[in-house]
Amino acid sequence: MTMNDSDVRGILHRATDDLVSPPGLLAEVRRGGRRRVVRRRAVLAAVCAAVVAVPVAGVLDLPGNAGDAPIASPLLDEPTRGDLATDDGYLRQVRAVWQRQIAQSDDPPRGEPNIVWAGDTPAGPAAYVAHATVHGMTVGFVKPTVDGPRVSTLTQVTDTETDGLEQAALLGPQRDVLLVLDFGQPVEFSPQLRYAPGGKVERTFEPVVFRDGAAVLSVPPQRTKLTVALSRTPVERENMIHIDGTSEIYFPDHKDRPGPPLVRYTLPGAEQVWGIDPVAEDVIAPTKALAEYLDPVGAHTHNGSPLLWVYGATPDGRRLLMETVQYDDDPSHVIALLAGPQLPFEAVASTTADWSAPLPVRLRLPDDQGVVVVAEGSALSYRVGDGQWTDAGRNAALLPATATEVRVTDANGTTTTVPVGS
Amino acid sequence: MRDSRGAEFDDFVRTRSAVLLRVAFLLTGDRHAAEDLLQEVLEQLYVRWRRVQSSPEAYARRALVNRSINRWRWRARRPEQSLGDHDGVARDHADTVAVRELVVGALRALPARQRAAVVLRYLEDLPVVDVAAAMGCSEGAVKSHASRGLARLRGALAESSLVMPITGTGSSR
Repeated sequence: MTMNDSDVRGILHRATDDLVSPPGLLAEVRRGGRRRVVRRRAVLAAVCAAVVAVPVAGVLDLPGNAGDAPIASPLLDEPTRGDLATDDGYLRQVRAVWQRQIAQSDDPPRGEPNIVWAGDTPAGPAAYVAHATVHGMTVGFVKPTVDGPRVSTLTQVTDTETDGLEQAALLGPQRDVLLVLDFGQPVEFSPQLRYAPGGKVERTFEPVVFRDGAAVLSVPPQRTKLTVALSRTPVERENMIHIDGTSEIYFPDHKDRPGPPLVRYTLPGAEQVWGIDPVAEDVIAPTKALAEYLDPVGAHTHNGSPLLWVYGATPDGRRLLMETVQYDDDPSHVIALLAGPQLPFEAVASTTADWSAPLPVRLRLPDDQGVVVVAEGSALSYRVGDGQWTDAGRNAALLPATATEVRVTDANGTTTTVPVGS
Repeated sequence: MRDSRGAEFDDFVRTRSAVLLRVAFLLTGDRHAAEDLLQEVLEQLYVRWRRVQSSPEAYARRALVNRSINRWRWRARRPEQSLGDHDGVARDHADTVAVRELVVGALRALPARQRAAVVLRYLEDLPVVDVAAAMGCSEGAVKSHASRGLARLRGALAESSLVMPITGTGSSR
């Protein structure tokens, strides 16, 4: 069989269409990027110093250049803290399991590990260990299990910053004990994510009170999703504290989750106000405009419900953008945003999608700009009062504000009439 | 402390990371390596954002190609948590998995520059001039790499029953 260029394009797309970027990517990138900035500054500082030093020393030794220079981190040499700091039996166990685990690491250890913290928790004894390595340092939690202490995830670190390290761990079979290490900066804790009736995120935070190097918090069981969140101050995405073991919750047995269907519709007339093809450009709402609907610091995945974008134009000439925000198995919030010419988008209305209903989305816009309805794969029509039915196309439509009923005919020919409502 | 990169960087990552991940995947042939590579490149982009924000995608593409060609330059630095564990890659449909394995296998057999040329030309659908910019070579070299790579790729894929007219997946992605 001969393949033409179109076949090649098609098969490359088929091989990759299901790849979606992970929910945590942005936070990871920002975290890593900040650390790169810090390292870059360190290198620049070293270069400046060397300008003076070179005539004397004749050697430039830039941090990060050789990769083999030992890093100096307080985690490597501060005395052990915690109420088990003098429990030789437990510390011996910790060192033994740590040595076994780090022996398998691709960054060989140097010298002895330092147990940064060891303490008792309602889930059993736990510890946090730091170990100098050839390329920097490896750190990790030692968690209690029925089989004794077990090293959780090993993290290789190439600088002295604690920013970005997993600073907390969930412990116990129910994951209802949260151990938070004291890295010397204030930390805020939020037990759960809630939503206001319109879908705006409501998270409350309280300061974490550390004692002897750590805080042990009792939290709701984090079995299938992570409701708790931690942040350095000020609370914001860039300061989010990562919790060890999150991936075990979201991806048990390391299994992938099916990606959510990404559904994008352009309504008639959109091209006149958008000036671009928003579907082709994968346009999404600006983070700032959606901020009140976004979790500032939580870690989430999705349950496979569609992620929807609708692009349109309102009768008064504004750009219309509708977008869903959904975390885990929480409700799927649909937010409508409008932007006048040369103006930024503003969220103006929101509702909750019911993906099992004949008409999953129905959202009235302010200022009598109409009602957005969405039913993937269905034909839509509407009427005003007892008037004639008017065709509104398929999948999605912006109905007039005066519409009172919408008729949905799905792919099987089943017709449902739904009141437009207020 | 506010970040001068602001929401623009966030929006770039949110909108373009999936596309770049697909490129990275075909360049590396390995999902986890692709995610590591993408993260490396986006971090690099973060650092240089002020200088490259007028054309961040071109910068990212070039960095992906460079790093994938010179794989010894980079190594995974996220042992603590593979982003692969977070993605929604698999629909677990046998045919999707089979296509992916077939394509990855065929691309792996290509020299790195031929692979890059084919991926950028036929997955990204970039004009030759943009591929040349991403690969840091002449347009003639791109044509040559793409032509040779395509011929070899066709040879590897042609016998497969998986090569058939492509239909949509039901939603407008």
